[in-house]
Amino acid sequence: MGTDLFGQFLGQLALGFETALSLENLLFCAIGVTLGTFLGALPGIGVLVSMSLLFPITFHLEPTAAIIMLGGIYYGTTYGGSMSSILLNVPGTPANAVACLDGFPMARQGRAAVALSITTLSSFFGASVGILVIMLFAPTIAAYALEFGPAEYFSLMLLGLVAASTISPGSPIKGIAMVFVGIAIGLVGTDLNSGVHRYTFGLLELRDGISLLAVAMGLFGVTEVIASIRTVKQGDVSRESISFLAMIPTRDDMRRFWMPSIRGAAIGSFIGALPGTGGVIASFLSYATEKRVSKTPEAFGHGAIEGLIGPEAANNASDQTAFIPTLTLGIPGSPALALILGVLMIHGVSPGPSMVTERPEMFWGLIMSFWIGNAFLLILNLPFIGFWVRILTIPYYILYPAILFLVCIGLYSVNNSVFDMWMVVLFSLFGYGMRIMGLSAAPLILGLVLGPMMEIQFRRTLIFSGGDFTAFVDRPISAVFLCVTAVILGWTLLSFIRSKSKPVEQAAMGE
Amino acid sequence: MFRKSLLVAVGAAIVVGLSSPVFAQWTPEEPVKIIVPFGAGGSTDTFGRVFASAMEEATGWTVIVENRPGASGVIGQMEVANAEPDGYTVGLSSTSLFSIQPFLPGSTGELQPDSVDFIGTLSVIPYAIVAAADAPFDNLAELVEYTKENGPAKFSATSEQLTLALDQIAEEIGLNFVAAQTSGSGESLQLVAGRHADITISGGVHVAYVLDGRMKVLAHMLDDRADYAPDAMTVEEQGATLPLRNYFLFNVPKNMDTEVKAALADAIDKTINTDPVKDHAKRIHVKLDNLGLEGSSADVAAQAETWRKALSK
Repeated sequence: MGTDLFGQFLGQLALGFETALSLENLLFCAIGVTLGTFLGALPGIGVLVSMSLLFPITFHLEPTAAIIMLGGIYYGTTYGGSMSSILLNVPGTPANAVACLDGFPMARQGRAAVALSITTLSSFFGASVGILVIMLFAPTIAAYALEFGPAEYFSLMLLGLVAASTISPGSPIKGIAMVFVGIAIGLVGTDLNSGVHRYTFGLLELRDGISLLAVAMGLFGVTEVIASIRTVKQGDVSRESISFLAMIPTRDDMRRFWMPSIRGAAIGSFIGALPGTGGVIASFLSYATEKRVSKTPEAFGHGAIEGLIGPEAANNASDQTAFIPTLTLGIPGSPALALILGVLMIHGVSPGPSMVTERPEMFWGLIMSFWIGNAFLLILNLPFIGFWVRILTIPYYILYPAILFLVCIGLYSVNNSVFDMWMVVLFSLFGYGMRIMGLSAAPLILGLVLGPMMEIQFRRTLIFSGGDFTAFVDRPISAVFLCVTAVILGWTLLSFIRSKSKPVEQAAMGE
Repeated sequence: MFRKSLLVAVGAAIVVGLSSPVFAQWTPEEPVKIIVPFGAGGSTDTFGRVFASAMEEATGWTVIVENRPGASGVIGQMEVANAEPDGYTVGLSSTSLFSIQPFLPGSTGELQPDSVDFIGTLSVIPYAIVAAADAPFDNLAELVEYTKENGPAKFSATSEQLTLALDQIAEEIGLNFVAAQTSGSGESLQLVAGRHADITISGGVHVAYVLDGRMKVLAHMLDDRADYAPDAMTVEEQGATLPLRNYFLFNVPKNMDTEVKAALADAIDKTINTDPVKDHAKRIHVKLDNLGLEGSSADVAAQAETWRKALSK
């Protein structure tokens, strides 16, 4: 029986590879990941825009080729997105915002090439784990993901918020304050339950809330440009730092590679499989975990390589496992995956358990194409690192206008809305003010992402339970999350009290 | 060139007579843009794109689809309403955006039933009240019984309009329910499939679930039973009135030249009968139904009047 199943499994893999390796599918996989990684590297031009642009083309393709290409764009952007985070402090996609925290300081220290190569490696590692998880456990996980109701989502997100709220370097109080600012910004928009417009000031454009992308672009990218104008400083780029040798991680780097990658991949695979969560939350959670388990948490935010490795493994793993609910349940976890479902529907394929049995060549072909696509990405990204790092040698009077230009184009392309660009202007001023006051932007992004989701799940739980708060602890999964949250809170409080009683240690920075 | 063709069109109109159907002579010289005020990949967008490529083939025109999502469709539809009435901008959304949305308590009312002119429909959106396959009720009466013992039915609501629609049905059959809004049909179905919610109203995404046996239809919100679940009864068969007929609805800016409008309406009618559109309709289990130029305007006006009265109470 066991060997039967194993034989069947091997048969499916063979079928998958056969499909994925057909000339047409290989070609579209290559097109997809190449486009994805380039568009991801351009700040603002997110995965959804790139996929929407190519959506009409998919009409004329074989459905398998179409989803292989769109899938390639989807996970390709996360690879590319970390590039601009590291080099320019401008996250290519919101899921790469965390990569700014330690990636950019690394680039400032002249280690941009290593940062890029190690990111590519950890991305590949994370993605590989994610694919393995899909291959082995997709149906089991899909059934389990359905068990996640509003109470579980709320508790998980509360755990994420508490765990990650102190990720920024410096004062934890400031970090938590920024989380609340993020939650407050997240309040703007139409209240989902009552339809009431909150803080929209009668503006039609504010009804869907403030665009996460606009906030991220403003707080990170444009703020960085403004700040750099005052202190014009060329990044530390010497001849040696862009040579091929410069991108080879040191033995110490590789020693520090494995554990963060494994933890990141595990967190990412888990979060990704839950519809509606995704790469942003996965990367923040991974960063928080790395900072907590680290013996030198004070080095985080100053170029700690673990803070780059973990989150990048996490968001790439979550990109892969996000396909599980999409393909096996027909429930898209994000708008980008909804687009992939749309393609399948147009071609008359209904995703769900029946897809695995009725269209095995498509299901396994897509999954095997993930291997090929990620291998492509590895080959595509590593040799180009020297080329990318050269971006830092571009004079600031060309580079900065170019960044602003790309941010504007990218953002405009999302909603075809000039309003979003004004939001970037607003948030870049806000971000500059924050920077002067020593406030970090990353916790704000976290609050902005998690706040609205938590509110919805919290209210949904209470609506369905008739206002009964025990609904959160009645369900075992939810209760476990809440317990862990309480433990983390207690631990933080305890170490805070202990550190108060000890003389303050001056942090040894990783410089 | 445009003037000339207009002159020809006017000439033709005089020859044929001013009563419709006017023989449409207008041909576009630029791409015709169909604005879908919802996201790419959704059911309206998907149908719109299939339709656009069929329209290109049927007419020889260039037809492009542009997504302009935001504020549940109001932003994109306002763009249509404010566009030049030159025939190059067409909207594709749904009836309830004009018939219910303007009268919602939270609506600021920039979009009204008469903000645009209506030129045709594709089909009624196949709404159905659905539940997980293993739910202990099979129709509305059993659901009412169930809630008497287990407390109000948990309804995961995809839009405010659909909550109002269920409100009307509930009042007539004596159903007690609580509604929690979700951000889309995917999320609603996820809640129902995991039995976190009892029911939802879905406009098409549920069909695949019903066909593979994970969900069941409690009631079709249509005039007739849909073919994918022929054993499930319609709302009216279960003693309630059908609260809304939501069409995929084509519209254009007001004050459009009659000839241009007629040409667009003609093109839509011609395209509806092409094979790609028929195939798509069959795939998503809808019945194609073009109410035409006058029919769709009358339908929107009638439904809007009903909802205006119901919601001003």
